[in-house]
Amino acid sequence: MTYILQTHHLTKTFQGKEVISNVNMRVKKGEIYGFLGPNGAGKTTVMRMLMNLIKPTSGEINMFGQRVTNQSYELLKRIGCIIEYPVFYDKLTAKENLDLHCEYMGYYDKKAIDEALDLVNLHNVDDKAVKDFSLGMKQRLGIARAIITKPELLILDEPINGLDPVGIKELRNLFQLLSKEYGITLLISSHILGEIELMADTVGVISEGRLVEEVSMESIRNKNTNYIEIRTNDSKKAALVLENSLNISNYKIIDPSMIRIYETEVSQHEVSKSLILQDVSIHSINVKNHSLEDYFLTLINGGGKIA
Amino acid sequence: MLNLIRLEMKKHKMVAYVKAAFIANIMMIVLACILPIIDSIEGDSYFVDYKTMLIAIDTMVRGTFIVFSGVLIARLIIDEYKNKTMHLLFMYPIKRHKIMLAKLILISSFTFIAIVISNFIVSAAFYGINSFAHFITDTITMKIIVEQAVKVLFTALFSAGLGLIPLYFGMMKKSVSTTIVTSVLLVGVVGSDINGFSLFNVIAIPVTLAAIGFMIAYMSFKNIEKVDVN
Repeated sequence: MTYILQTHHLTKTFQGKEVISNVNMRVKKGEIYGFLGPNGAGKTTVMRMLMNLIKPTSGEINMFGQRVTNQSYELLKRIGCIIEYPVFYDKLTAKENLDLHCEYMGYYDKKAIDEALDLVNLHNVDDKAVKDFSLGMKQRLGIARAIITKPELLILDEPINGLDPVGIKELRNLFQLLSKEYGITLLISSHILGEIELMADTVGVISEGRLVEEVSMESIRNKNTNYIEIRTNDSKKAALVLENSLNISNYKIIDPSMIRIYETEVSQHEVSKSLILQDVSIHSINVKNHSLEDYFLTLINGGGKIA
Repeated sequence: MLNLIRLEMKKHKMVAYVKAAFIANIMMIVLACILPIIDSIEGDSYFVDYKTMLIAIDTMVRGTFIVFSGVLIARLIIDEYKNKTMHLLFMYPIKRHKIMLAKLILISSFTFIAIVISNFIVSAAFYGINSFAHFITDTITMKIIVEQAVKVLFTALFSAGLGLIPLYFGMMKKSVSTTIVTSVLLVGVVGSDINGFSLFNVIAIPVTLAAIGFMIAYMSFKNIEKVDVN
């Protein structure tokens, strides 16, 4: 497996306070890596370190197989990014901004400017200064700027901030297109789980400066099966019934009045029928979905406890 | 480096500053003509020869463009830090110190060139107008011109250096107004002329200040590769 980006024990201290602790991140080539964490967890700080804006206190960063140092300027040619929020030369127009960007990047294919504006669906902005743009438009322009030079790695910090639902969907499709058609690796941060869930291949969860989990979406999906939750007056007796008459062994007694069945084959109807026949009273019976959200919330809260 | 300077000129619309410099020149020409008139109304006989006039013109020009230099520092450096466009620049595959250097070279060469050219324009215009308006009756000699030319080259060079001093004060709080106020104060200190005596004429002072200015400029990018940009 080739990793386009790796961090080893990445740590950053600001004024004696450790804001990023021992982060080991691995981003595979070609994937969409969702960088998930609540506000203030350290997503932006990590991204700034990746872009060489701030320097790690300890640990190291490897990109494209090279170690990043103070002098790693050439690497930046291969990356497109938005950190925090997109900044522009406000008084210039969108095209002038993109034009400047290309010049600074040493990229001279001027056709790319229109293509990029097309891709993010930003039209009729020719004579407008960027200061008159809405946040959503700036966000789109920021993405256009990030992708204009066809980078190998895109680092996008909260790219869907300030966009309406239609815009969010458009961009999600764009990110997927960039990943699949252009083979660009994307590192996208967000505090909105739903978004990450919809597009990421791998998720890195950061909480209070620590990477508490890095896992492929596929494996999370497999982990999170449905279960039947039964409230009863006697869960021990209920458990016996489940084992003896339904041959279910994959269950868990949560407390004396609650039991959860993780067997996917068995139907709610069968369970209730058997329990009633054995005279176990049922207060309620529900099929529950242990959602991704629960999973991440547990992780983030758990991470908080460690810190 | 030239390309970086060109890009700085492009994005900060330097043409506007060149235009502003020309407008300032016109105003200085007017002022230069008014000086001997006021002088004669008040019955003084100070601005009566070319030597004094050229010194006055040089002082005006220097003062104007030291403040210009402050404005440019505010625009090209302080504002860029404040608006975080500096972050953008530092994410380009270009060494940070080159980006800073391009800005500093642009600022101090603008100051230098503007002072030299404006001295020439304002003095020449004054000479032209005086030849038929007769504000002063002195005749200009080659000696005066050569002496003044040499002097202007040096003052321009010193001003280009000391014009960078506001960078230090402006950067402390990333404040545009501090930057410009510092440059105005600088002009007040080194540009004021009391009966022909100016601090600028004590050669050690402009030389020291210019050295400090260039030093500040150097310090501004010395460690820039290693520091965090917040």
